[in-house]
Amino acid sequence: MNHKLIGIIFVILYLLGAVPFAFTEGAQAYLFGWLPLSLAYWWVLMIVNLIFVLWVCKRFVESSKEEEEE
Amino acid sequence: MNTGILSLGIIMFYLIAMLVITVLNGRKKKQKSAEGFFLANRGVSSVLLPLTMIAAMQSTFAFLGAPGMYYTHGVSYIAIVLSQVWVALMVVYFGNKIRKLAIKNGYMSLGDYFQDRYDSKYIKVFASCVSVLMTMVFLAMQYVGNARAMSIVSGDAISYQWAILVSVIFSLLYVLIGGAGGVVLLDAVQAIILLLGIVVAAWIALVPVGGIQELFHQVAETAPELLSRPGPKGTYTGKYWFMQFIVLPFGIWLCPHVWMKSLMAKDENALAKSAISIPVSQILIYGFATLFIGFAGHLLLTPEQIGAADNVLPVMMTIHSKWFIAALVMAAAIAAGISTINAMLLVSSQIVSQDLILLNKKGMISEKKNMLLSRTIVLVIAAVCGVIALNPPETLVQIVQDVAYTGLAQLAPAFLLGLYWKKCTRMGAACGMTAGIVILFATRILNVQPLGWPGFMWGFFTNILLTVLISLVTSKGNGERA
Repeated sequence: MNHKLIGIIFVILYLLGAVPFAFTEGAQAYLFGWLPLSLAYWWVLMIVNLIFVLWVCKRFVESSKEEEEE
Repeated sequence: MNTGILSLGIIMFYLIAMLVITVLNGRKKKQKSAEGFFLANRGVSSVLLPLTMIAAMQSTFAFLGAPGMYYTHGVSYIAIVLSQVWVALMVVYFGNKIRKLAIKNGYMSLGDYFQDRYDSKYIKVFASCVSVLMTMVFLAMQYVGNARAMSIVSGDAISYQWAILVSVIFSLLYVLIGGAGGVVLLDAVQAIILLLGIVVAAWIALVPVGGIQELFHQVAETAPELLSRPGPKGTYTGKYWFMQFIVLPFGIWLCPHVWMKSLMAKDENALAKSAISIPVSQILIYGFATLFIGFAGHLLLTPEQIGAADNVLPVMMTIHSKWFIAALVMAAAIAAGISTINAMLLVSSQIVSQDLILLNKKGMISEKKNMLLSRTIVLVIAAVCGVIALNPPETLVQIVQDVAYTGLAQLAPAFLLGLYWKKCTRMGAACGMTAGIVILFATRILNVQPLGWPGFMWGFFTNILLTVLISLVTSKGNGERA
Protein backbone atom coordinates (compact mmCIF):
# COMPACT_ATOMS: atom_id res chain seq x y z
CA MET A 1 0.00 0.00 0.00
CA ASN A 2 1.22 3.48 -0.80
CA HIS A 3 0.95 4.81 2.75
CA LYS A 4 2.56 8.16 1.93
CA LEU A 5 0.04 9.01 -0.78
CA ILE A 6 -2.84 7.80 1.38
CA GLY A 7 -1.53 9.88 4.29
CA ILE A 8 -1.30 13.05 2.21
CA ILE A 9 -4.80 12.65 0.76
CA PHE A 10 -6.15 11.86 4.21
CA VAL A 11 -4.68 15.02 5.74
CA ILE A 12 -6.07 17.19 2.93
CA LEU A 13 -9.57 15.67 3.15
CA TYR A 14 -9.51 15.76 6.95
CA LEU A 15 -8.63 19.46 6.99
CA LEU A 16 -11.20 20.27 4.30
CA GLY A 17 -13.82 18.89 6.69
CA ALA A 18 -12.41 19.94 10.07
CA VAL A 19 -11.54 23.56 9.27
CA PRO A 20 -14.64 25.69 9.92
CA PHE A 21 -14.43 27.81 6.74
CA ALA A 22 -16.00 31.25 6.90
CA PHE A 23 -18.29 30.60 3.94
CA THR A 24 -20.11 27.88 5.93
CA GLU A 25 -21.15 30.45 8.52
CA GLY A 26 -23.99 32.97 8.40
CA ALA A 27 -26.13 33.95 5.41
CA GLN A 28 -25.75 31.58 2.47
CA ALA A 29 -25.58 31.85 -1.30
CA TYR A 30 -27.87 29.31 -3.01
CA LEU A 31 -26.79 27.06 -5.87
CA PHE A 32 -29.53 26.45 -8.45
CA GLY A 33 -31.66 28.80 -6.36
CA TRP A 34 -32.31 26.32 -3.56
CA LEU A 35 -29.15 24.48 -2.36
CA PRO A 36 -27.18 26.35 0.33
CA LEU A 37 -23.51 26.64 -0.60
CA SER A 38 -22.31 25.21 2.74
CA LEU A 39 -24.45 22.10 2.32
CA ALA A 40 -23.39 21.67 -1.31
CA TYR A 41 -19.75 21.80 -0.19
CA TRP A 42 -20.29 19.28 2.61
CA TRP A 43 -22.25 16.90 0.35
CA VAL A 44 -19.48 16.94 -2.26
CA LEU A 45 -16.84 16.41 0.42
CA MET A 46 -18.86 13.52 1.86
CA ILE A 47 -18.90 11.74 -1.49
CA VAL A 48 -15.19 12.41 -2.14
CA ASN A 49 -14.42 10.97 1.31
CA LEU A 50 -16.43 7.87 0.46
CA ILE A 51 -14.55 7.36 -2.81
CA PHE A 52 -11.26 7.73 -0.94
CA VAL A 53 -12.28 5.14 1.67
CA LEU A 54 -13.34 2.74 -1.08
CA TRP A 55 -9.98 3.14 -2.78
CA VAL A 56 -8.01 2.65 0.46
CA CYS A 57 -10.01 -0.48 1.32
CA LYS A 58 -9.45 -1.89 -2.17
CA ARG A 59 -5.71 -1.30 -1.88
CA PHE A 60 -5.72 -2.79 1.63
CA VAL A 61 -7.33 -6.06 0.48
CA GLU A 62 -5.03 -6.29 -2.56
CA SER A 63 -1.97 -5.66 -0.45
CA SER A 64 -2.92 -8.29 2.14
CA LYS A 65 -3.50 -10.81 -0.67
CA GLU A 66 -0.06 -10.02 -2.06
CA GLU A 67 1.47 -10.46 1.40
CA GLU A 68 -0.25 -13.83 1.77
CA GLU A 69 1.02 -15.02 -1.62
CA GLU A 70 4.58 -13.97 -0.76
CA MET B 1 -59.84 -1.64 16.73
CA ASN B 2 -57.55 1.00 18.25
CA THR B 3 -54.69 1.62 15.79
CA GLY B 4 -52.30 2.28 18.69
CA ILE B 5 -52.80 -1.28 19.94
CA LEU B 6 -52.45 -2.62 16.39
CA SER B 7 -49.19 -0.66 15.97
CA LEU B 8 -47.92 -2.12 19.22
CA GLY B 9 -48.93 -5.56 17.91
CA ILE B 10 -46.77 -5.05 14.79
CA ILE B 11 -43.78 -4.06 16.94
CA MET B 12 -44.27 -7.03 19.28
CA PHE B 13 -44.61 -9.34 16.27
CA TYR B 14 -41.33 -7.99 14.95
CA LEU B 15 -39.56 -8.51 18.29
CA ILE B 16 -40.88 -12.07 18.53
CA ALA B 17 -39.87 -12.85 14.93
CA MET B 18 -36.32 -11.73 15.75
CA LEU B 19 -36.40 -13.96 18.83
CA VAL B 20 -37.39 -16.96 16.69
CA ILE B 21 -34.40 -16.29 14.39
CA THR B 22 -32.14 -16.10 17.46
CA VAL B 23 -33.48 -19.35 18.93
CA LEU B 24 -33.15 -21.25 15.63
CA ASN B 25 -29.67 -19.90 15.03
CA GLY B 26 -28.71 -20.52 18.68
CA ARG B 27 -29.51 -24.24 18.27
CA LYS B 28 -27.03 -24.48 15.40
CA LYS B 29 -24.27 -22.57 17.16
CA LYS B 30 -23.95 -23.55 20.80
CA GLN B 31 -21.59 -21.18 22.57
CA LYS B 32 -19.35 -23.32 24.74
CA SER B 33 -16.51 -20.92 25.41
CA ALA B 34 -16.15 -17.25 26.34
CA GLU B 35 -14.42 -16.60 22.99
CA GLY B 36 -17.36 -18.13 21.14
CA PHE B 37 -19.90 -16.26 23.27
CA PHE B 38 -18.26 -12.84 22.97
CA LEU B 39 -16.34 -12.92 19.67
CA ALA B 40 -18.22 -15.47 17.54
CA ASN B 41 -14.96 -17.47 17.44
CA ARG B 42 -13.25 -14.68 15.48
CA GLY B 43 -14.84 -15.97 12.29
CA VAL B 44 -17.42 -13.45 11.07
CA SER B 45 -17.49 -13.33 7.27
CA SER B 46 -17.25 -10.44 4.81
CA VAL B 47 -21.03 -10.64 4.26
CA LEU B 48 -22.11 -10.54 7.90
CA LEU B 49 -19.42 -8.30 9.40
CA PRO B 50 -20.38 -5.13 7.44
CA LEU B 51 -24.02 -5.64 8.34
CA THR B 52 -23.26 -6.23 12.01
CA MET B 53 -21.01 -3.14 11.96
CA ILE B 54 -23.91 -1.07 10.59
CA ALA B 55 -26.24 -2.56 13.18
CA ALA B 56 -23.82 -1.81 16.02
CA MET B 57 -23.07 1.75 14.92
CA GLN B 58 -26.53 2.82 13.83
CA SER B 59 -28.75 2.92 16.84
CA THR B 60 -32.03 4.60 17.73
CA PHE B 61 -30.11 7.87 17.25
CA ALA B 62 -30.53 7.35 13.52
CA PHE B 63 -34.31 7.55 13.94
CA LEU B 64 -34.76 9.75 16.99
CA GLY B 65 -31.57 11.61 17.91
CA ALA B 66 -30.35 12.61 14.44
CA PRO B 67 -33.62 14.10 13.13
CA GLY B 68 -33.82 15.88 16.50
CA MET B 69 -30.30 17.28 16.06
CA TYR B 70 -31.04 18.56 12.53
CA TYR B 71 -34.32 19.98 13.83
CA THR B 72 -32.50 21.81 16.65
CA HIS B 73 -29.10 22.73 15.20
CA GLY B 74 -29.73 22.69 11.45
CA VAL B 75 -27.35 21.58 8.75
CA SER B 76 -24.26 21.85 11.01
CA TYR B 77 -25.03 18.42 12.42
CA ILE B 78 -23.63 17.03 9.15
CA ALA B 79 -20.26 17.22 10.95
CA ILE B 80 -21.15 13.73 12.16
CA VAL B 81 -20.80 12.29 8.62
CA LEU B 82 -17.67 14.24 7.74
CA SER B 83 -15.89 13.23 10.94
CA GLN B 84 -17.10 9.66 11.40
CA VAL B 85 -15.94 8.65 7.94
CA TRP B 86 -12.44 8.40 9.42
CA VAL B 87 -13.57 5.57 11.69
CA ALA B 88 -13.40 3.51 8.47
CA LEU B 89 -9.66 4.17 8.11
CA MET B 90 -9.16 3.38 11.79
CA VAL B 91 -10.83 0.01 11.24
CA VAL B 92 -8.51 -0.73 8.32
CA TYR B 93 -5.26 0.46 9.89
CA PHE B 94 -5.55 0.13 13.68
CA GLY B 95 -8.25 -2.54 13.56
CA ASN B 96 -6.17 -4.86 11.42
CA LYS B 97 -3.08 -4.37 13.53
CA ILE B 98 -4.94 -5.11 16.77
CA ARG B 99 -6.73 -8.06 15.12
CA LYS B 100 -3.42 -9.69 14.26
CA LEU B 101 -2.05 -9.03 17.75
CA ALA B 102 -5.25 -10.39 19.27
CA ILE B 103 -5.01 -13.63 17.30
CA LYS B 104 -1.35 -13.99 18.28
CA ASN B 105 -1.73 -13.10 21.97
CA GLY B 106 -5.33 -14.12 22.63
CA TYR B 107 -6.71 -10.65 23.40
CA MET B 108 -10.44 -10.51 23.89
CA SER B 109 -10.71 -6.86 24.84
CA LEU B 110 -8.98 -3.51 24.92
CA GLY B 111 -8.06 -4.22 28.54
CA ASP B 112 -6.20 -7.39 27.50
CA TYR B 113 -4.16 -5.34 25.05
CA PHE B 114 -3.34 -2.68 27.66
CA GLN B 115 -2.28 -5.26 30.21
CA ASP B 116 -0.09 -7.06 27.71
CA ARG B 117 1.47 -3.92 26.20
CA TYR B 118 2.12 -2.06 29.45
CA ASP B 119 2.15 -4.95 31.94
CA SER B 120 -0.12 -2.79 34.09
CA LYS B 121 -3.24 -3.88 35.89
CA TYR B 122 -3.95 -0.24 36.77
CA ILE B 123 -4.20 0.73 33.09
CA LYS B 124 -6.30 -2.34 32.33
CA VAL B 125 -8.74 -1.71 35.19
CA PHE B 126 -8.90 2.05 34.55
CA ALA B 127 -9.53 1.61 30.81
CA SER B 128 -12.06 -1.16 31.48
CA CYS B 129 -13.97 1.00 33.98
CA VAL B 130 -14.04 3.95 31.56
CA SER B 131 -15.16 1.66 28.71
CA VAL B 132 -17.91 -0.05 30.65
CA LEU B 133 -19.28 3.10 32.31
CA MET B 134 -19.38 5.03 29.04
CA THR B 135 -20.97 2.07 27.26
CA MET B 136 -23.61 1.81 29.97
CA VAL B 137 -24.54 5.48 29.46
CA PHE B 138 -24.92 4.73 25.77
CA LEU B 139 -26.85 1.53 26.47
CA ALA B 140 -29.30 3.20 28.84
CA MET B 141 -29.98 5.84 26.16
CA GLN B 142 -30.78 3.07 23.68
CA TYR B 143 -33.43 1.74 26.04
CA VAL B 144 -34.79 5.29 26.30
CA GLY B 145 -34.95 5.58 22.50
CA ASN B 146 -36.67 2.24 22.08
CA ALA B 147 -39.22 2.95 24.78
CA ARG B 148 -40.02 6.43 23.39
CA ALA B 149 -40.49 5.02 19.90
CA MET B 150 -42.73 2.26 21.20
CA SER B 151 -44.95 4.41 23.41
CA ILE B 152 -45.36 7.29 20.91
CA VAL B 153 -46.22 5.15 17.90
CA SER B 154 -48.63 3.02 19.93
CA GLY B 155 -50.45 6.17 21.06
CA ASP B 156 -49.49 5.38 24.66
CA ALA B 157 -51.07 1.93 24.42
CA ILE B 158 -47.94 0.91 26.29
CA SER B 159 -46.52 3.23 28.93
CA TYR B 160 -42.93 4.40 28.79
CA GLN B 161 -42.02 2.29 31.83
CA TRP B 162 -43.54 -0.90 30.39
CA ALA B 163 -41.82 -0.20 27.07
CA ILE B 164 -38.49 -0.09 28.93
CA LEU B 165 -39.27 -3.44 30.48
CA VAL B 166 -40.18 -4.97 27.10
CA SER B 167 -36.91 -3.65 25.58
CA VAL B 168 -34.85 -5.02 28.47
CA ILE B 169 -36.51 -8.46 28.34
CA PHE B 170 -36.16 -8.90 24.58
CA SER B 171 -32.55 -7.70 24.48
CA LEU B 172 -31.72 -10.12 27.29
CA LEU B 173 -33.36 -13.02 25.47
CA TYR B 174 -31.47 -12.26 22.24
CA VAL B 175 -28.09 -12.01 23.95
CA LEU B 176 -28.46 -14.84 26.45
CA ILE B 177 -29.77 -17.27 23.86
CA GLY B 178 -27.66 -16.22 20.89
CA GLY B 179 -24.36 -14.88 22.26
CA ALA B 180 -22.20 -13.06 19.70
CA GLY B 181 -22.75 -15.76 17.03
CA GLY B 182 -26.53 -15.50 17.24
CA VAL B 183 -26.48 -11.74 17.53
CA VAL B 184 -24.40 -11.42 14.34
CA LEU B 185 -27.13 -13.01 12.22
CA LEU B 186 -29.82 -11.04 14.01
CA ASP B 187 -27.84 -7.83 13.51
CA ALA B 188 -27.50 -8.53 9.80
CA VAL B 189 -31.28 -8.78 9.40
CA GLN B 190 -31.82 -5.68 11.54
CA ALA B 191 -29.24 -3.66 9.60
CA ILE B 192 -31.15 -4.21 6.37
CA ILE B 193 -34.45 -3.36 8.07
CA LEU B 194 -33.10 -0.16 9.62
CA LEU B 195 -31.64 1.08 6.32
CA LEU B 196 -34.92 0.43 4.51
CA GLY B 197 -36.83 2.00 7.40
CA ILE B 198 -34.89 5.27 7.33
CA VAL B 199 -35.33 5.61 3.56
CA VAL B 200 -39.09 5.09 3.90
CA ALA B 201 -39.17 7.61 6.78
CA ALA B 202 -37.36 10.24 4.66
CA TRP B 203 -39.78 9.62 1.81
CA ILE B 204 -42.76 10.10 4.13
CA ALA B 205 -41.22 13.35 5.38
CA LEU B 206 -40.56 14.72 1.88
CA VAL B 207 -43.90 13.94 0.20
CA PRO B 208 -46.10 16.42 2.14
CA VAL B 209 -43.43 19.13 1.81
CA GLY B 210 -43.31 18.75 -1.99
CA GLY B 211 -39.81 17.30 -2.50
CA ILE B 212 -36.23 18.23 -1.72
CA GLN B 213 -36.10 21.56 -3.57
CA GLU B 214 -39.32 22.74 -1.99
CA LEU B 215 -38.03 21.65 1.42
CA PHE B 216 -34.97 23.90 1.12
CA HIS B 217 -37.00 26.76 -0.38
CA GLN B 218 -39.37 26.73 2.57
CA VAL B 219 -36.63 26.35 5.18
CA ALA B 220 -34.73 29.27 3.59
CA GLU B 221 -37.86 31.40 3.93
CA THR B 222 -38.95 30.35 7.42
CA ALA B 223 -35.74 29.43 9.27
CA PRO B 224 -32.61 30.35 7.24
CA GLU B 225 -30.41 30.01 10.34
CA LEU B 226 -30.85 26.23 9.98
CA LEU B 227 -28.91 26.27 6.72
CA SER B 228 -25.47 27.30 8.00
CA ARG B 229 -23.17 27.24 11.02
CA PRO B 230 -23.39 27.87 13.94
CA GLY B 231 -27.10 26.98 13.81
CA PRO B 232 -30.11 28.49 15.61
CA LYS B 233 -28.66 27.88 19.09
CA GLY B 234 -25.14 29.00 18.15
CA THR B 235 -23.69 25.60 19.12
CA TYR B 236 -21.53 24.85 16.09
CA THR B 237 -18.94 27.56 16.54
CA GLY B 238 -15.55 27.11 14.86
CA LYS B 239 -14.05 25.53 18.00
CA TYR B 240 -16.98 23.18 18.57
CA TRP B 241 -16.99 22.18 14.88
CA PHE B 242 -13.27 21.36 14.97
CA MET B 243 -13.68 19.37 18.19
CA GLN B 244 -16.17 17.06 16.47
CA PHE B 245 -13.38 15.87 14.20
CA ILE B 246 -11.39 14.61 17.18
CA VAL B 247 -14.10 13.40 19.54
CA LEU B 248 -16.24 11.53 17.06
CA PRO B 249 -13.65 9.42 15.18
CA PHE B 250 -11.74 8.41 18.32
CA GLY B 251 -14.76 8.25 20.60
CA ILE B 252 -16.75 6.09 18.22
CA TRP B 253 -13.96 3.78 17.18
CA LEU B 254 -13.04 3.18 20.82
CA CYS B 255 -16.63 2.31 21.69
CA PRO B 256 -16.03 -1.28 22.80
CA HIS B 257 -18.96 -2.59 20.73
CA VAL B 258 -17.45 -1.04 17.57
CA TRP B 259 -13.81 -1.79 18.38
CA MET B 260 -14.65 -5.42 19.10
CA LYS B 261 -15.86 -5.96 15.52
CA SER B 262 -12.21 -5.91 14.41
CA LEU B 263 -11.51 -8.89 16.66
CA MET B 264 -14.50 -10.76 15.24
CA ALA B 265 -13.34 -10.42 11.61
CA LYS B 266 -12.53 -13.64 9.79
CA ASP B 267 -9.96 -11.98 7.51
CA GLU B 268 -8.79 -8.71 5.94
CA ASN B 269 -11.55 -8.81 3.35
CA ALA B 270 -14.23 -8.91 6.06
CA LEU B 271 -12.50 -6.06 7.89
CA ALA B 272 -12.30 -3.90 4.74
CA LYS B 273 -15.97 -4.46 3.91
CA SER B 274 -16.95 -3.55 7.46
CA ALA B 275 -14.93 -0.34 7.08
CA ILE B 276 -16.75 0.54 3.85
CA SER B 277 -20.12 -0.06 5.51
CA ILE B 278 -19.43 2.88 7.85
CA PRO B 279 -19.42 5.79 5.35
CA VAL B 280 -22.06 4.14 3.18
CA SER B 281 -24.56 3.87 6.04
CA GLN B 282 -23.54 7.26 7.49
CA ILE B 283 -24.14 9.06 4.19
CA LEU B 284 -27.51 7.41 3.65
CA ILE B 285 -28.71 8.01 7.20
CA TYR B 286 -27.03 11.23 8.38
CA GLY B 287 -26.01 12.79 5.08
CA PHE B 288 -29.49 12.72 3.58
CA ALA B 289 -32.40 10.91 5.27
CA THR B 290 -32.33 12.41 8.77
CA LEU B 291 -31.45 15.85 7.40
CA PHE B 292 -34.65 15.80 5.34
CA ILE B 293 -36.69 14.46 8.27
CA GLY B 294 -35.38 17.07 10.72
CA PHE B 295 -36.03 19.95 8.33
CA ALA B 296 -39.46 18.62 7.36
CA GLY B 297 -40.25 18.55 11.07
CA HIS B 298 -39.89 22.34 11.13
CA LEU B 299 -42.34 22.76 8.30
CA LEU B 300 -44.91 20.10 9.14
CA LEU B 301 -45.05 20.03 12.93
CA THR B 302 -45.50 22.60 15.66
CA PRO B 303 -43.19 22.68 18.71
CA GLU B 304 -46.21 21.77 20.86
CA GLN B 305 -46.81 18.60 18.81
CA ILE B 306 -43.17 17.57 19.05
CA GLY B 307 -42.34 18.26 22.69
CA ALA B 308 -38.74 16.98 22.89
CA ALA B 309 -36.67 17.27 19.66
CA ASP B 310 -36.09 13.50 19.62
CA ASN B 311 -39.78 12.98 18.95
CA VAL B 312 -39.73 14.57 15.46
CA LEU B 313 -39.75 11.29 13.54
CA PRO B 314 -42.27 9.28 15.58
CA VAL B 315 -44.67 12.24 15.78
CA MET B 316 -44.30 12.89 12.03
CA MET B 317 -44.94 9.23 11.28
CA THR B 318 -48.07 9.11 13.36
CA ILE B 319 -49.48 12.32 11.80
CA HIS B 320 -48.32 12.09 8.17
CA SER B 321 -48.45 8.38 7.36
CA LYS B 322 -50.84 5.49 7.74
CA TRP B 323 -50.74 3.84 11.16
CA PHE B 324 -49.26 0.55 9.91
CA ILE B 325 -46.47 2.33 7.98
CA ALA B 326 -45.67 4.34 11.11
CA ALA B 327 -45.55 1.09 13.08
CA LEU B 328 -43.24 -0.54 10.51
CA VAL B 329 -40.87 2.45 10.48
CA MET B 330 -40.80 2.44 14.27
CA ALA B 331 -40.14 -1.31 14.20
CA ALA B 332 -37.08 -0.42 12.10
CA ALA B 333 -36.10 2.19 14.71
CA ILE B 334 -36.44 -0.44 17.40
CA ALA B 335 -34.36 -2.81 15.23
CA ALA B 336 -31.63 -0.20 15.22
CA GLY B 337 -31.85 0.16 18.98
CA ILE B 338 -32.02 -3.54 19.77
CA SER B 339 -29.07 -4.42 17.54
CA THR B 340 -26.89 -1.79 19.22
CA ILE B 341 -28.11 -2.88 22.66
CA ASN B 342 -27.17 -6.49 21.84
CA ALA B 343 -23.63 -5.52 20.91
CA MET B 344 -23.29 -3.27 23.96
CA LEU B 345 -24.66 -5.81 26.40
CA LEU B 346 -22.23 -8.42 25.16
CA VAL B 347 -19.23 -6.17 25.31
CA SER B 348 -20.06 -4.62 28.71
CA SER B 349 -20.57 -8.04 30.19
CA GLN B 350 -17.30 -9.18 28.66
CA ILE B 351 -15.37 -6.28 30.18
CA VAL B 352 -16.95 -6.69 33.62
CA SER B 353 -16.63 -10.46 33.78
CA GLN B 354 -13.34 -11.10 31.96
CA ASP B 355 -11.36 -7.92 32.64
CA LEU B 356 -12.58 -6.87 36.07
CA ILE B 357 -14.05 -9.79 38.03
CA LEU B 358 -11.66 -12.41 36.61
CA LEU B 359 -8.71 -10.00 36.55
CA ASN B 360 -6.49 -12.34 38.59
CA LYS B 361 -8.38 -15.56 37.97
CA LYS B 362 -8.48 -15.88 34.20
CA GLY B 363 -7.93 -19.50 33.17
CA MET B 364 -8.47 -20.61 36.75
CA ILE B 365 -12.21 -21.28 36.44
CA SER B 366 -13.95 -23.70 34.08
CA GLU B 367 -15.54 -22.51 30.82
CA LYS B 368 -18.91 -23.56 32.25
CA LYS B 369 -18.51 -21.31 35.29
CA ASN B 370 -17.13 -18.53 33.09
CA MET B 371 -20.21 -18.71 30.85
CA LEU B 372 -22.52 -18.65 33.87
CA LEU B 373 -20.73 -15.60 35.23
CA SER B 374 -20.84 -13.85 31.84
CA ARG B 375 -24.57 -14.47 31.47
CA THR B 376 -25.26 -13.26 35.01
CA ILE B 377 -23.37 -10.04 34.28
CA VAL B 378 -25.41 -9.52 31.09
CA LEU B 379 -28.52 -9.75 33.25
CA VAL B 380 -27.22 -7.30 35.87
CA ILE B 381 -26.05 -4.72 33.29
CA ALA B 382 -29.35 -4.83 31.41
CA ALA B 383 -31.24 -4.34 34.68
CA VAL B 384 -29.05 -1.42 35.80
CA CYS B 385 -29.31 0.33 32.40
CA GLY B 386 -33.07 -0.26 32.38
CA VAL B 387 -33.34 1.48 35.77
CA ILE B 388 -31.17 4.40 34.55
CA ALA B 389 -33.45 4.71 31.50
CA LEU B 390 -36.52 5.24 33.68
CA ASN B 391 -35.53 8.89 34.24
CA PRO B 392 -34.40 9.95 30.76
CA PRO B 393 -32.82 13.23 29.62
CA GLU B 394 -34.65 15.28 26.97
CA THR B 395 -32.28 14.68 24.09
CA LEU B 396 -30.29 11.49 23.63
CA VAL B 397 -27.52 12.61 21.33
CA GLN B 398 -26.17 15.38 23.49
CA ILE B 399 -25.77 13.08 26.49
CA VAL B 400 -23.92 10.40 24.56
CA GLN B 401 -21.76 12.88 22.68
CA ASP B 402 -20.90 14.88 25.81
CA VAL B 403 -20.29 11.97 28.14
CA ALA B 404 -19.67 8.67 26.37
CA TYR B 405 -17.70 9.63 23.25
CA THR B 406 -15.53 12.21 25.00
CA GLY B 407 -14.68 9.72 27.76
CA LEU B 408 -13.84 6.89 25.37
CA ALA B 409 -11.68 9.16 23.20
CA GLN B 410 -9.37 9.62 26.21
CA LEU B 411 -8.22 6.01 25.75
CA ALA B 412 -6.89 6.79 22.27
CA PRO B 413 -3.42 8.23 23.13
CA ALA B 414 -2.38 5.23 25.28
CA PHE B 415 -3.81 2.84 22.71
CA LEU B 416 -2.28 4.36 19.58
CA LEU B 417 1.05 5.41 21.05
CA GLY B 418 1.33 1.94 22.58
CA LEU B 419 0.68 0.41 19.19
CA TYR B 420 3.06 2.57 17.12
CA TRP B 421 5.62 4.14 19.48
CA LYS B 422 8.05 1.75 21.12
CA LYS B 423 9.18 4.28 23.73
CA CYS B 424 5.72 4.76 25.19
CA THR B 425 5.89 3.62 28.82
CA ARG B 426 3.45 2.39 31.41
CA MET B 427 3.96 5.48 33.54
CA GLY B 428 3.36 7.82 30.59
CA ALA B 429 0.20 5.99 29.49
CA ALA B 430 -1.20 5.76 33.03
CA CYS B 431 -0.59 9.44 33.85
CA GLY B 432 -1.87 10.71 30.49
CA MET B 433 -5.05 8.64 30.59
CA THR B 434 -5.83 9.52 34.20
CA ALA B 435 -5.20 13.25 33.68
CA GLY B 436 -7.34 13.27 30.53
CA ILE B 437 -10.34 11.75 32.29
CA VAL B 438 -9.95 13.93 35.40
CA ILE B 439 -9.77 17.13 33.32
CA LEU B 440 -12.69 16.04 31.15
CA PHE B 441 -15.03 15.41 34.05
CA ALA B 442 -13.76 18.30 36.21
CA THR B 443 -14.47 20.82 33.44
CA ARG B 444 -17.81 19.16 32.81
CA ILE B 445 -18.84 19.21 36.49
CA LEU B 446 -17.61 22.80 36.98
CA ASN B 447 -19.15 23.73 33.61
CA VAL B 448 -16.10 25.72 32.47
CA GLN B 449 -14.47 26.12 29.05
CA PRO B 450 -10.99 27.63 29.59
CA LEU B 451 -10.13 30.11 26.76
CA GLY B 452 -13.36 29.11 25.07
CA TRP B 453 -12.20 25.56 24.29
CA PRO B 454 -14.37 22.67 25.54
CA GLY B 455 -12.98 20.64 28.48
CA PHE B 456 -12.58 17.62 26.21
CA MET B 457 -9.90 19.38 24.16
CA TRP B 458 -7.94 20.32 27.29
CA GLY B 459 -8.19 16.77 28.59
CA PHE B 460 -7.28 15.16 25.27
CA PHE B 461 -4.21 17.27 24.51
CA THR B 462 -2.99 17.15 28.13
CA ASN B 463 -3.38 13.39 27.87
CA ILE B 464 -1.18 13.23 24.71
CA LEU B 465 1.38 15.65 26.13
CA LEU B 466 1.75 13.82 29.44
CA THR B 467 1.91 10.40 27.77
CA VAL B 468 4.74 11.58 25.49
CA LEU B 469 6.70 13.65 28.01
CA ILE B 470 6.58 11.12 30.84
CA SER B 471 7.44 8.30 28.42
CA LEU B 472 10.53 10.24 27.34
CA VAL B 473 11.79 10.64 30.91
CA THR B 474 10.88 7.21 32.28
CA SER B 475 12.13 3.80 31.26
CA LYS B 476 10.15 0.69 30.49
CA GLY B 477 9.44 -1.93 33.16
CA ASN B 478 10.48 -5.55 32.72
CA GLY B 479 7.15 -6.87 31.50
CA GLU B 480 6.39 -4.08 29.03
CA ARG B 481 6.34 -4.98 25.36
CA ALA B 482 8.33 -3.11 22.72
